Amino acid sequence: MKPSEFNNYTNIRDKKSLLKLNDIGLPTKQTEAFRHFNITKLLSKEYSLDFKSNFCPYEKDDGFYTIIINNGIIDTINSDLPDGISFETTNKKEVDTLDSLYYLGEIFLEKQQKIIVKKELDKPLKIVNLFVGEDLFLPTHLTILAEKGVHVEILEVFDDSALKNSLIKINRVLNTHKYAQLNYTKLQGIKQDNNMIVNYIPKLKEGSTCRASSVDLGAGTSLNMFDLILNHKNSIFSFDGIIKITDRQKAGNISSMLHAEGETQSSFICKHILDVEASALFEVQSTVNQEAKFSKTFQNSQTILLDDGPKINAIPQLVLHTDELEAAHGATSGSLDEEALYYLMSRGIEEKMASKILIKAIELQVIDTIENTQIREFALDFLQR
Amino acid sequence: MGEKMLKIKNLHVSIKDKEILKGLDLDIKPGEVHALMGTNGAGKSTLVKTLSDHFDCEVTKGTMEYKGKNLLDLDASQRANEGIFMSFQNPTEIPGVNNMYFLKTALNAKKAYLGEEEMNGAEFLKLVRKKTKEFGIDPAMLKRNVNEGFSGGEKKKSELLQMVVLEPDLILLDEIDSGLDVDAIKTIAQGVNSLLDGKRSVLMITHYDRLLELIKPDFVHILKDGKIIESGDYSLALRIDEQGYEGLGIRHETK
Repeated sequence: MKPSEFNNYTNIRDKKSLLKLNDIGLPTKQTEAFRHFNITKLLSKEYSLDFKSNFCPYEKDDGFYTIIINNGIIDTINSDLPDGISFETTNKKEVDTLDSLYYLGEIFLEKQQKIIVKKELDKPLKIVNLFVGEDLFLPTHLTILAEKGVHVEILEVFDDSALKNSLIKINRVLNTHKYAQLNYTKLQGIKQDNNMIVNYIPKLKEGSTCRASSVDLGAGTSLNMFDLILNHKNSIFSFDGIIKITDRQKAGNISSMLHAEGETQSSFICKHILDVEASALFEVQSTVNQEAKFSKTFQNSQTILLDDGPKINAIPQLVLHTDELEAAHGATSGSLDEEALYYLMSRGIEEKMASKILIKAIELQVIDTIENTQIREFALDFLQR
Repeated sequence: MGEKMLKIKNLHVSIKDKEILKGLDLDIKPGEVHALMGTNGAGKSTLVKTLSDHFDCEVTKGTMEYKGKNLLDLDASQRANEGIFMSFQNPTEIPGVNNMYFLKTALNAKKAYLGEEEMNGAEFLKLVRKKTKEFGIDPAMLKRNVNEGFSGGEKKKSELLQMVVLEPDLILLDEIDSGLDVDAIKTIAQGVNSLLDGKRSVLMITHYDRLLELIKPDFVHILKDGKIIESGDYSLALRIDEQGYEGLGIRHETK
């Protein structure tokens, strides 16, 4: 099957999503042209679908509770489900988004997989996605729900060592109930012959917080898409990301954040470190409605170009319908700070090492935003690998 | 090593296509302390930046030999590892780079360059503790990022710590006394003097006699319009202090 020809597929499992997908339509070469981030090639490639769970061995780390997902399906036998976490496979709840790629994943999935965190855990939760196969289209959905007042720390990682030439389509609904806090970190370092598109739908109730962090190093093409509506008072969403890519890799973040209720906060910050002929996209729009007074919204894209070949397309956008708010947006791009580079070299550190030190310093600014020590250390190790 | 540590001949240097140094000659022997004075814009900082391979400075003519090696063949890190240390007038802040990590990396880079055994964490910690105590430097500085949020005095003390840890052979001080109180200048001078063992040399830029009282120069040079126009001993600095440059017939540079 070709994802772009989804209407020809006979075994659609979610008809409602199909209707939505038909309404919105997939991105076309024309609509994507202004982004300089065309993904239509990825969607018009021939893939197979494989809904068999291919069990892979995975060595768990004692510092985490581990949830294992094999080719998109939760492995309940080998996953940790301690007191305080439950897992459900339920009928789908409708999700409203304008991101057609979300529905492209959903049409092939009949049920919804859901993890419910009912109380604070003594260790962070690690979601490990294992993939096996070749030329696969791999749709996967997981809703993570933090119940009222619960603080939960989640790390999501991917192992594609047994996967070739595939497109991983991930949907994550981050559901944060009243006064709960969900801290989510994604570390993506998959091989360049595989591609990944992730749709995030954060849902925040009154007084809740969702802090997302993301490190994207791998994949031929990787794209994170966020669709967020802040329609409950005192809800806070933040994203801190790093995209560090090289060769002809492409990676991007597209985010739509709507403030529909007062005293809500959003922040979307990404640092891009681009080498050789890599290209990145930062397309973030914050809309603050008239009734969303005293809200705060911030966006920032910082790009370091390590060569003459890489490209960044940064489009930070603010659409403000009230003037009683705090808002800022910005985008910078340039090479490594040459004064800093020179300072390190003037103390005997050779240029290559000095560059590495400065790049690491930029990465650290993002990693330092991860609250949980274990996840932060895991992320540091991940970046060093 | 030959008789001369540093030999500069007919040096012409441009910054952004504007010629700043216009045929400068200077020799420094091991163990000598030289002071470079002159009006603003004369080219003093350009000289030390050129010796340290600053990217702004383009050598268009002339030669610079250090320990018999052509400096133009060496980049900034190689010059540092050969023993040239420039203390910056305004050291760069580097957010996210820890001072302790930076200093250990720099010291081990020098050791690797010289073919010496690198220092492990414990040995390095012992060394910096000794140096911070000896020069009254707050060791908390090491836990902070390189120069980030440092006051003027803290920045200069951080430069001093780097200097005494790296133990260079040729110390270039670019107005290290600027913005410092008397006690801080004394600390810096104590650090520089502690390194002077008769083999190490100093080239310092200063506008004031105060630093020269504490680090006694063997030679004082006056730089004007990119050239050394007068050289003498410490008494020349005293004359400048008393009469000013205009009193000696040296007008301020016109831009």
